[in-house]
Amino acid sequence: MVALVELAKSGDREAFDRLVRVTHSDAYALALRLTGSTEDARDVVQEAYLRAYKGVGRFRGDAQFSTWLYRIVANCATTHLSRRQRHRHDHLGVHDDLIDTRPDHDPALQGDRAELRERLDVAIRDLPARLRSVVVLRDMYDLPHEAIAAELGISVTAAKVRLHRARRRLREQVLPMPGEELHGDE
Amino acid sequence: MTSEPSAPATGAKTGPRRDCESVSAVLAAVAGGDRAYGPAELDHLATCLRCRVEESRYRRLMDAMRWLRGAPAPADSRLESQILVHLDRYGHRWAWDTRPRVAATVAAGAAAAAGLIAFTARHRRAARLAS
Repeated sequence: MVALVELAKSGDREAFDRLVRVTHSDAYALALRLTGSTEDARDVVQEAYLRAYKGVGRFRGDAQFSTWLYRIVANCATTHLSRRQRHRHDHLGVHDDLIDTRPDHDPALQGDRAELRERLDVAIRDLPARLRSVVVLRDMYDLPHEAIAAELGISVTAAKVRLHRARRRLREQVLPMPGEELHGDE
Repeated sequence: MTSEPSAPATGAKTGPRRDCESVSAVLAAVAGGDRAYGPAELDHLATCLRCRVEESRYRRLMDAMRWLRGAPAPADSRLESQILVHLDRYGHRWAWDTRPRVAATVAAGAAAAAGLIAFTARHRRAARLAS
């Protein structure tokens, strides 16, 4: 990977194409998580690789190439989503059927990891985009708060607040406490 | 079946105690690796069943998040070729578009230099005729 990056930095298009082949699945997975749509994810990834291609000469190598690419994908996803101005996941009503706080139906007590992951996947997709971006980049891709804030164009404090809200909302939806009801704090 | 203790009855009736609320605010941050518990928070957790349950749920949530990170994305067999085609189209166009800009800059520079030379020559000739 390092050798490919060096070749790509020197303008070797073949090397960059090989980087695309090696990394595009992960980049697509991140774009899909951030946008919640296969169509949007495809557009975001294409744009991200174009930006990466134009900017690879400035890649300093003080981070992994994949991390650098994730930041570009995050930035492209933010731009894409704000351009589309979609808010289709912002309606709390659609979450109602995901919550069942009866003890016998508490997913936390069922011990079914597959179901937990499935519910979490749905809950992440249903988060508002501005919360989803932060929690995905931080808790799934381990990006530092500063990098997340920079790519989303927000302050570090705002990124931390969004992260806290996102985690809380996910926990409330996926693993609710007994007697806990969903509340829209965003 | 039950792996976690249920919440105390008092919490369900009157809502979380104030200490629970303050500790609850940091449970997610600790589970996410952003910070560690302070002594007061550890003391509270040692005695509060409700917060320990919530803490365990945040940990399970983070474990599931990490698992999802490693889960394969839905395959899109056309994506790789689409990216490369996009690069062919717009990557080259970007490079091509820079050529006229470079040419225009060079032409403008040459014209400015020629103008300056002509102006200087005319000025010298006028000065020579005047003398």
